[in-house]
Amino acid sequence: MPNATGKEDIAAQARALGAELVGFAPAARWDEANCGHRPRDLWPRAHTVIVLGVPLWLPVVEAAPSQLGREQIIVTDKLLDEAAYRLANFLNGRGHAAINVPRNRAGEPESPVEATRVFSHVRAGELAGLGRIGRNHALLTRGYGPRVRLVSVFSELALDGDPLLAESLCTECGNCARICPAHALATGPDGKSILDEAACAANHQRLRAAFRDPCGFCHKVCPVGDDRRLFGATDTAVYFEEAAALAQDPFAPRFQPWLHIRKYGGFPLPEDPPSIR
Amino acid sequence: MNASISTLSKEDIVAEAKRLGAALVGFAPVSRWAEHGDLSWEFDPRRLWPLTKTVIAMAVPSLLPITETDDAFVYRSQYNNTNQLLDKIAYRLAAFLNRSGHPAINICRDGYGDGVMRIRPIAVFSHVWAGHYAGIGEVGWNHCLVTAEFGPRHRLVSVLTSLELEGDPMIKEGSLCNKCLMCQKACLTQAFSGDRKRDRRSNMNKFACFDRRARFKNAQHCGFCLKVCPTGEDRKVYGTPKVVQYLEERRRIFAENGVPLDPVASTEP
Repeated sequence: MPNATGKEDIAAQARALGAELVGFAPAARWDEANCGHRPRDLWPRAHTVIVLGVPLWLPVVEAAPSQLGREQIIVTDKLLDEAAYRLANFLNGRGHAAINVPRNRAGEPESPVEATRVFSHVRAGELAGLGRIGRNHALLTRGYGPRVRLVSVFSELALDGDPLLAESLCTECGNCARICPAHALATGPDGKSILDEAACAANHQRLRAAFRDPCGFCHKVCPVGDDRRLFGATDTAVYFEEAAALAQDPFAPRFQPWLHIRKYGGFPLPEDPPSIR
Repeated sequence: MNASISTLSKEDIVAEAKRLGAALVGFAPVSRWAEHGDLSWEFDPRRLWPLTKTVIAMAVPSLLPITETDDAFVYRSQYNNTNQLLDKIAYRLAAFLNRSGHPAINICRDGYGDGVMRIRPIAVFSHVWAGHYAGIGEVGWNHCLVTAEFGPRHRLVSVLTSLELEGDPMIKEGSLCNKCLMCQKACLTQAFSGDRKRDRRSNMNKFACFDRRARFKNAQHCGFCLKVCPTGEDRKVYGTPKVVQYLEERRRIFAENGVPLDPVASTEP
């Protein structure tokens, strides 16, 4: 006999397991949104998708590409996968069938870009009301902009969905498309943002070979997110000034923290300034 | 993210760190790096993150019988498991601080991609020195942090925060490492050298240490400089084998790998 399990219990359990963001999306929302990766295609009993998120720390994200940034992703992905697995078991233990859908490893050699993503945690996050997808194709959240990692748990429980964010969070500033070193973001004829996944993945694999993936430039430049104020980094113009400023003065103080983080732990990259080679 | 700033005390932070699994927790005001001058300015935490005011160092033990084992699989598992645990503790402690309105970042355990250590054997941040300045232990002759609880048998991780907190008292020099040089004598690769009267700690040849795996196929995971250290309450918990046992094991490893015994090995303690 299943125990009554409410959203509050589930959210509290998810937070106890390390999730900083928790949202609920009824599976029917995928049909309403007429988008792919429908939970029921993966598991017909899915009734509700529970999306868990954890932030990435801006001072590490903005130092990319670095080995420390790579470790931050490894650590947060492991934390999320473990939290999702344990949340699924928590639900199963109470008699409510659930499965966790692990983190994607898009761009990794074992999962080429085409046809690998069994499910989009980003889309799930939007349909669970955690944020809105921006022009950088990432989930923008109020708390951390696109600097979040996400994972999903499918439950057969019918739970109320969290309210969707009515307003887009993306300011359409175009920073992400301008900074992308792979030129992977373009504007289509209808004004929508198009992501060249192959170009993005190729750049990722290049960085990965140096143990300095991911790139995350489209995450660091995004002006959205309360974390920018928390970390005292509201000026996004600085990312565009970096190259010229370092060409003039390789020891310009404001850029030294990023150079320090890039210098250690990974292999040199052609774009590294001579001062850290 | 919670926009409101809550006041957190050291006790709150220690309680959260221990709840997450940390065994030892210490606080180092960032000024200690410059005051003591053991490291160049490049390795001051403010160089990595300018807002840093306090470094929170945390440790979990490496269990002595596993550190002693010659089973590489068991040894490696302990190494990986403790590192993963520490990374999770540190990330979640940073999340706890950020959630409370106090900016914080965790510095992950693993500091190198495969093979990078060979070209640049320096990590972005030294958890060992953070532990030293946070009063968790003392950097010993073997370049490890020697603690009262576990000697050098533990793993460390660090969280940097802009929250100003009172530093924990540092360990009195020489109280945990009396430079007995057992680590130097037991080292398979003679990586440590120096004059115990003149030097506070040894010179360490990191490359000699890395080359161990090529020379000693039966000692892929070495740990001699950890297991021989006489400091640590953990020795009492597990019972201390006689040091001469470690030196016998050392001779056996040389013989099994067909490596001529080095001069240090013939020196009895």
